[in-house]
Amino acid sequence: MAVVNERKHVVPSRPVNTGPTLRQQVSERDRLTQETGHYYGITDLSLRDADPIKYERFYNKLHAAVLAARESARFVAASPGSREMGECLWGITTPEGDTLAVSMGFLSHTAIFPVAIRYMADNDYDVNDGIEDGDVYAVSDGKTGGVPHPGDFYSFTSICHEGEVVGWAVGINHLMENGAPVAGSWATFSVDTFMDGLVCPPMRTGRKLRQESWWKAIWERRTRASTMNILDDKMRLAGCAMINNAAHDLLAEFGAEYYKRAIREVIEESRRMIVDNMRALMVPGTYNGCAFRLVKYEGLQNVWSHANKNTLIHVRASVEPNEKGLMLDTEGSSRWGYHSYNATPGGADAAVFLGMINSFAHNTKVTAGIELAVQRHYAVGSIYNPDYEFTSNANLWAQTVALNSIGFNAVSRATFSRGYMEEAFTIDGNWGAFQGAGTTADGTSYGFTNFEWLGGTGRGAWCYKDGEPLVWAAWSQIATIGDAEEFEACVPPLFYLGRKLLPGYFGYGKYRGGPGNSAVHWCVEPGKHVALTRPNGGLSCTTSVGLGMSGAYPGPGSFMISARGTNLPELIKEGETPRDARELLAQVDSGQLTVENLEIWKTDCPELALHDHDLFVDAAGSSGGWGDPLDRNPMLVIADLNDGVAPDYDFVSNMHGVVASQNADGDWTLDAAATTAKRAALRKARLDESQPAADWWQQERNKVLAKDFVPEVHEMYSQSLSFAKFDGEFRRFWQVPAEFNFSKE
Amino acid sequence: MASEASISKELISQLVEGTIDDDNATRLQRLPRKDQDRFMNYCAVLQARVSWQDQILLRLGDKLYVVRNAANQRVVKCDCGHEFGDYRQNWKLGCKVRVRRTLAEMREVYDPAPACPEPGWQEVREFFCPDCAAQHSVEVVAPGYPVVFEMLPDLDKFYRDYLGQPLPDEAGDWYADRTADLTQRWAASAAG
Amino acid sequence: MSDSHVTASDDRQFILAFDAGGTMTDAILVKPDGSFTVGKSISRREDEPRSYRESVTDAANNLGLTAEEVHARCGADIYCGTGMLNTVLTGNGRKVGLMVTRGFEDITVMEGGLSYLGQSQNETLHQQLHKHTRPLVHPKNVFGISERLGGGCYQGNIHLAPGAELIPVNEKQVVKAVNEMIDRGCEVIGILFLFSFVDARHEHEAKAIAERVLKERGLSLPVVCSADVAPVSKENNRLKSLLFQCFAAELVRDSLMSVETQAKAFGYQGRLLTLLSYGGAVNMEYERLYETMISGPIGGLIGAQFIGEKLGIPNIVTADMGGTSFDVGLIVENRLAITKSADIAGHRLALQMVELDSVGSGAGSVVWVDDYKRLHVGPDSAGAKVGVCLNFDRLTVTDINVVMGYVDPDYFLGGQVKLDREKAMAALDEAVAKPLGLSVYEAGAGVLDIVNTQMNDLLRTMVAAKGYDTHDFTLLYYGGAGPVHMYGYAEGIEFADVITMPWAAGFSAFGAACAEYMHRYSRGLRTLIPNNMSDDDRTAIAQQIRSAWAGLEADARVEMKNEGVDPDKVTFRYGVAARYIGQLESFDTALESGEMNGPADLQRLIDAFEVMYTKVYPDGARFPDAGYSLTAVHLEAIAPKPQPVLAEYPLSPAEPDAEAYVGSREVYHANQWTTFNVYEMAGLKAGNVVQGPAIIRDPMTTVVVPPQRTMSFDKYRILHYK
Repeated sequence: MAVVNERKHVVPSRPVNTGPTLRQQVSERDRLTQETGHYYGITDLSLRDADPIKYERFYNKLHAAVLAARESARFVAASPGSREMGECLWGITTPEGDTLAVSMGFLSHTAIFPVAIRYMADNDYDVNDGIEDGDVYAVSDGKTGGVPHPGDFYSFTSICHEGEVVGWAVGINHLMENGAPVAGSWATFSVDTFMDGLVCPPMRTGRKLRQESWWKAIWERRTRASTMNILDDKMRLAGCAMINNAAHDLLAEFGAEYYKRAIREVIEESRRMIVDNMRALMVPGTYNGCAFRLVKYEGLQNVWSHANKNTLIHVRASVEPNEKGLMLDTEGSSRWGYHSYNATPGGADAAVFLGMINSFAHNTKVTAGIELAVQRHYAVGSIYNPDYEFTSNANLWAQTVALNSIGFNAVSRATFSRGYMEEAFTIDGNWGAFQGAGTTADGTSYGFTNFEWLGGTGRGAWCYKDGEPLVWAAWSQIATIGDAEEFEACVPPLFYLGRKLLPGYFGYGKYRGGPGNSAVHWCVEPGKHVALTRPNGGLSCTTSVGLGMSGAYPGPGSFMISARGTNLPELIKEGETPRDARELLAQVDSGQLTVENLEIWKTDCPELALHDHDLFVDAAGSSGGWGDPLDRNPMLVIADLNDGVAPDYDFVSNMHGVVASQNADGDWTLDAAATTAKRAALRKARLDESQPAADWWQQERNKVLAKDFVPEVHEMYSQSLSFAKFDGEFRRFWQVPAEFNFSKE
Repeated sequence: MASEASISKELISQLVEGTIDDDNATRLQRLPRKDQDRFMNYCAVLQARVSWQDQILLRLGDKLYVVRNAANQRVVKCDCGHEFGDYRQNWKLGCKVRVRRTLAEMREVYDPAPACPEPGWQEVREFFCPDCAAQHSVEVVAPGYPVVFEMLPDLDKFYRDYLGQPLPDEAGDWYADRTADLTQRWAASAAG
Repeated sequence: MSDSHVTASDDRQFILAFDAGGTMTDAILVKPDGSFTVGKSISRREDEPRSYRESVTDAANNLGLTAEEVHARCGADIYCGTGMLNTVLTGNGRKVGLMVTRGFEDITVMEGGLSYLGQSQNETLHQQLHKHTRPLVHPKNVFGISERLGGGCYQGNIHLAPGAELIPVNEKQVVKAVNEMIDRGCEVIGILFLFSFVDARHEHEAKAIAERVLKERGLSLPVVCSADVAPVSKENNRLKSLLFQCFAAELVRDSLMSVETQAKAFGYQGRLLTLLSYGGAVNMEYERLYETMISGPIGGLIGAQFIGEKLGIPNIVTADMGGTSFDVGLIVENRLAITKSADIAGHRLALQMVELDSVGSGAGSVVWVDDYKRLHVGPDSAGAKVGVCLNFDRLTVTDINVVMGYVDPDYFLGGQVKLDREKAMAALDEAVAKPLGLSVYEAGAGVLDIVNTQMNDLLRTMVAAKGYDTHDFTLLYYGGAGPVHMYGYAEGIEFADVITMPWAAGFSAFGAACAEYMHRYSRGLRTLIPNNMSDDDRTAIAQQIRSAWAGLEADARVEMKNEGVDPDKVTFRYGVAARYIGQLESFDTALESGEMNGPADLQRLIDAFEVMYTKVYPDGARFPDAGYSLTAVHLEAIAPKPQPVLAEYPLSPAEPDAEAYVGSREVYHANQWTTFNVYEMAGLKAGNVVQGPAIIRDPMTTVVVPPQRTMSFDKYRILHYK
């Protein structure tokens, strides 16, 4: 008997949950949605139609609570990315994790909410552990939580009513440091998930809207910026607590029955409007796009020999509007690899939805409706849906932003063809940041990330005018680069010598993209040690995307320069320190700046240790053009010369066929006659220097048949041809024999 | 209501010419719902700008259209009048192609120097109209990459379901990629 | 200056205050007994002295006095306007030349991104709408100067000290830049160097060089340093403050000076004052005049603060419903709640500004239905044209109030203007009822519900977003339309009390008359208080704070003396900006006193911070283990100035006099026709209680008292809603 009693004692007591289990709620949601084609089987919006004003008031309150959470909570933060910039978000969801409303911030992260909730449901978190109101869950794993990369950290808090989970309040922000072997928040040289830093599958870390004491120790022992991370954690929780309270107020005011029906109607209503918008703006058909990214690991992964090779990542996608909305198919993209650029379906969604929400959800409620209207196909085994459970996702954003660009550009092509030209512009996904760690002379160690070029980029050319500088960020609707004075204060030995636009750095065309950004960081008295690495979208040896728009050149990739061992003190005397990448290279060419070790990086650099007067210069955020460069209004070319936007006369003269002369004050004036002549000559040159596609095809086909490619390109094809869709396209295009393949001989 | 009102052809042609002022562009962007007759007005504006008579069915690029030609075929046509053939075949294969493979060649189109793609892994392909030399498209892709068919429209569906004005020559096979017919011929000619 | 207003003798107890709005210039003339009269005139931006002249004459005549007689007896004359904002919006400012730290030459074009300011969330999602605001300085007039100071580290003193010189100011470049600016016709020179908020010496050095060059060229352009205009962190915001000062403030100063000249011509012997964006009044010589940018709306908040102090109400939410917008502000513990990022006209300034938020729903807001059969109110507005019922071509909220019977078409502005109810009814039917398939009155009720809900949500959000509870707040509502809709926007929110005044329509101008003569001073600090800190170190920090305050006190006395204030009459309020070590944002913490000598005083400061912090955030957001950091000391210097007095009245019985009763009117309220009794505001006395359903009419506004509710007049004739 005693034994029995004791066993009774250790049997986990059935928690307060008395309503349906999470597992039941999720399967009910899926069943109803599948059977009817309407979210949760909502075929008519009965609450809205019965009393539209009450219905709108309900949503206004829900939405206001989430907006308010951010406006208040972000001030608890320690990281500039969260407080100043768009690098955070709060949201409220249904019990199944479907989004109801989001705050300002990087809102496409709503894509992952259902992934984490479904994992908890499938693993009976509510049945065994029990879920009570105000439980706090930490999530940063791609596989179980759908998290894009572990640098994006999520806090889920449960909202329970009468023994039933009725929703979740979620807070997210991008950490400054997440404790990987590579310091910072993108572990650029991770080979698998075990090198990604602090990776949490959904785990309860607190109760009653308070973290438990042990959780603080995790930040202190497993990351390099514990104070910042603890404050960010408190920030996420503070916002969630406000949303949790607001949800309970709504339940009290409108009643649980109304609440449960209304949250489903809200999603179905926005789904319908999104589908309407797609039909109103697009032209049905098939839109194809591609992008590439080189991963240079060869020679850098000697410890992990299986990862010690280069990879050319192929990003391939097609968009096809259909009755339910549109289908985005990524089949043909590369397979997953032993590098840090793999995605998971949740992470890929977070990227894909960026352009879709921008294009089709801005005039309705931002909810999970978008997830039903945009259907995605991520082939199993591909970089977007790995069939290996331990892939690294540390830096997926470096390539998934290109996936977003391909989908978003499809919408631009459609609106252009449809006549809504005012909406059509060139989309690139080219961001930059740097990260690292150091120890000052007094032994204080610190980790850091400088997010600035994540905050804003130039806009690609519109189909009717030039793009603007630093005006948007495809991944956040809040374009803000923060302040040099704040980032500098976070990285003791690095000081700005420049933070500006980089002249000439954009895609050329009839209309040019907005110039990208460039900063110069100067190392002063690093103490014991300071070193950094640089993750980057577009730091790839390629352009941001593979296709230009309507005859223009796609936006250039980003790059960085390390100049170690310099004569900077002499330039300081002259007051002529380099202000951007272009000026630094010119000073090196002229011999004014001497550098013992000048390195130009077009892919991620391994850890760079810096010493006194070393310089670190970056360039990111460029964007592509639109239209034939020879059609550019010559006066726009003159203006760019005079404003210093495109300062290299010989370059632009040959690019646009414009002839100009410079007066004593340095102002350029157009030579119209010579310009007409030069354009004619350049058109002739085009025809002289080109060959008919048919001839070119014959010659290229022979190279293909001979597989006459560098190893990275060869392997890229062998991976992409392992997917039937691209294999068929490749074989049909090159007409290669059936036995042809890229498998290693 | 503002959102339903037609947008004047004048404003549309200002968009096409790139002369529209920012206030008007912003006004169009802010429409709660787009003017539904835009497409037809757009086509009318475009039709008035071209030198030829063939009916514009869809604009593919700044200087590129799907038209119904004199022979009543749906073909891709350049501003200058050059015809690229059936719109179901990738029109790029009717272009003249110039490829930039070396750093020096890429440096002519990217600035500053480190902004260039990496030779060997990437090449820059420029697609020109054989007659007027208009640059209709640029690809920056890996060597050996199949030329990308950027957009194959489903014209019948568009005109019937989206615009409610079915085309007279609807048929089951208008929405199909026919590019392979061309490459097959080329392969055959290479063999024979 | 001898003619100081603060030594006003008994014969100078009148207070004049003006609100020069976009269309009308209101003048409030407050008599020594606190009672006041209103004067009005059309606003003339091109000739402000004339608008001043006309409105003050109008007010004086109400008392059978002349403008001269009023000015002769005037102890304070406060003038609020929107001229500066207008200069920025229209871009007709001074031609600015700007010197920045080398490498930051593009800062005016990049402006840190921020291409979405002032947009709703839906607009920011539609990124095609993101735009930069037109720079206030031509890019070619921006010059980089080689110089660098370090700013210190947020981790503490682990590297170069704050203000360490990394690169000296390059004199050659400054000389060259200033000469080029002069040659390019610049009218004012601004200087922005990194970390000048930590140490201004580089900016001041460049300023000295610039002034030397100007002297050599025989010129006297103003040279303005960012450290003197806005000595706070974040270069992008500091730049905007600098540019507003250079571009707009100096111009507007001239116009305000001409108004002051007019006042003096009428015989006024003091200085003309205007209001700061964080409350307080300064005269037109105030150095950082750009801080008076939104002096208009500030008036209402200061009025609320004044009323709060009189009635002993510490926490107030203000609700100002005018023709085009509904503005909500916060008074917390008798202080104006201040925000750190002031977004004005597409610029984000480093400016202390009162918490003020608004939605575009006012009495003149246009009502329309979209393709999805959704009702919208605003943002377009009829402004002075009122609505279809007067001379506007689209349906407005006022039209609906007329149709439903809330507003008497025959008593608008006391009957001076007749409104056309039939036309309003037809417009409502056409624009809303038919499209939605509702009856006219259902439709009208629906629209009012939407408007009221929008305002209701802003009220809730404004309080909730700051983490406060409405039970601790009194709602004070005003503006011409405020009392008409109060029943709706206050619905369902439990406030401690809900009050307004008989003079609700002119409350903003009244508030301006209540403004205190106050300057706010701040000085940056980077002081850490780790938990293990010794008492000696704590004493050192306390004394550091004390001496920082002392420095500010000295500055304040000098500045106020220059403005004609008797330094001995200046009093002070003390505060600090504090945070947990590691946090980026500092939180203003008010202190009881300026006592700061040892560990005990420092502990009082820390306790005050914790109390303030937990008012805003849940307990889980506290982080005392991290220790504390002080980033600034604040000082408010106050000089005495005549204040209006709330006149007390003997209490009459609850039942209003028969004369006060005008008659009754049918109103479609809560989905049914109800008979409302109508009373005349002027006839209602202190102590009266008006039982709903009732309407209290007044030439300037209409107070709606729904069924089962009451409106009682206290001894100040302040209306309490129950």
